[in-house]
Amino acid sequence: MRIRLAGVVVAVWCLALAGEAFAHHGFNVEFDGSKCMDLKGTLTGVLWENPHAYLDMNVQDASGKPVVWHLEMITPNALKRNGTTRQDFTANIGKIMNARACPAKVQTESDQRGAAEYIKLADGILRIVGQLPERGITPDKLNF
Amino acid sequence: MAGVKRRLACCAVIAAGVCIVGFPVLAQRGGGQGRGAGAQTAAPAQQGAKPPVKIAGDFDKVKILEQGGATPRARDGHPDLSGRYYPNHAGRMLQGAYRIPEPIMRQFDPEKTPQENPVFRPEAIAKYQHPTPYGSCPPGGTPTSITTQATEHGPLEIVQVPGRVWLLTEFPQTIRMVPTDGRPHSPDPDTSFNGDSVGRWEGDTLVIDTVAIDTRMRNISVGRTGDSNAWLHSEKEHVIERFTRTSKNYLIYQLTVEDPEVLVKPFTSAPHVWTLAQDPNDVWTEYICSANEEPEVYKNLDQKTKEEYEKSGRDAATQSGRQGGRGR
Repeated sequence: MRIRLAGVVVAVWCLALAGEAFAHHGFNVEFDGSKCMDLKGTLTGVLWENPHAYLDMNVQDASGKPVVWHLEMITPNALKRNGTTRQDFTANIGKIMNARACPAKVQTESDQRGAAEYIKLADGILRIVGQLPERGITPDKLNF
Repeated sequence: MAGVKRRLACCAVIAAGVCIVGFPVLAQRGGGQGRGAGAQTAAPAQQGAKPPVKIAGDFDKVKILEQGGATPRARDGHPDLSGRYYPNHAGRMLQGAYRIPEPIMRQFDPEKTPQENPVFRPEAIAKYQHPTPYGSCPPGGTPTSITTQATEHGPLEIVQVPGRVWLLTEFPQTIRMVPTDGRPHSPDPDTSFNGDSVGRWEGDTLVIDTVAIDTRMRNISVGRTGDSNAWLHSEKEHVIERFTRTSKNYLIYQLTVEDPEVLVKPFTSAPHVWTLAQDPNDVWTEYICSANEEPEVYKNLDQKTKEEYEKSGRDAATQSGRQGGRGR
């Protein structure tokens, strides 16, 4: 009984954390925080809308085939007030970028979808643009 | 050797005067390194392992805001509450993911001013305890437009003019107009998400009394924070909000919610701190929640996790009042 109660408490705590930041939806329902990955490719677009901004990047998969990743970010108002503007993206379109992102649990047919945690555009500034489900991945541990 | 390196790195971090507990990698390197606007530097975990990287957000400059001087006064002698405020001690929008130290991030210190969670009537939990439906953008209302900023971290703007006060929030995008000219509640008010509000001054505190709140309005972050702990209310919900500007930079907000059909006793929050926005370039931003990932994405959700999310608030409600608030 004690174990069951502890499990409920932990589950509630995790879900509360998942919905903690700029929640329009929780993280765990859509994205898999256990399969986050490093992506390197070319920034091809930005969508500056509420409740989520998105970026698109072209990434080559293992076979060399280009794949479009559509990455969700937090809201424009929070991005802007925390040092990341729409203009930061448009100034770096077509340039190399890095992202640490977690894939959607269920992918769409058209492209790969995920939630960005950290990104680094060609300007070299590290940007925290999403929730951080990987508690152990801090800026110093990123591979970019 | 690796252990020595780790200790050296740790000493370097401490020597740099890091006060960002819990997220030491946000330690700022020495000044004069030509950081760009809105950027700070992160020290690598091991000296020399990587060049430092700039992090957007100027979070190395975040600190507990000073009081800023005396409370401004309006011509009628009452405090002038006008200004844009953020739900933290920093006077700016913060982002939970940055792991800002709790004394800066939180709205109250649970050790000094503990907050008991709402105590729900057991028979009311099934009817009224409903997390915000997954992925929806429900309208705000009283008091949710203000209290939900505990997780949204967005601004509350107050515009005070003789005889009325306007309360504005970005998300949920809400406009509340509260008469402060001494009029009573309407004898037969229409229900609305904002409800029927009237304000009065008790000394230097503006007290806003609200009734006739639409029962579709969810109480979000009233007690436990977050959408999963949202709860509905009966037609008897009565909200009393107290606004006290204790100095130029600090506004204290305290909330009482009465609802005898849902709560065993009235819920009164801790005094919550809001601080005045310091950046003159921090302008109002439109935030109309358009749920812009629909409809394609929502057909493909993880239904099991979704159901767990929507059940979680009700599980928490069964533990009403057994633990204190989280402080934000």
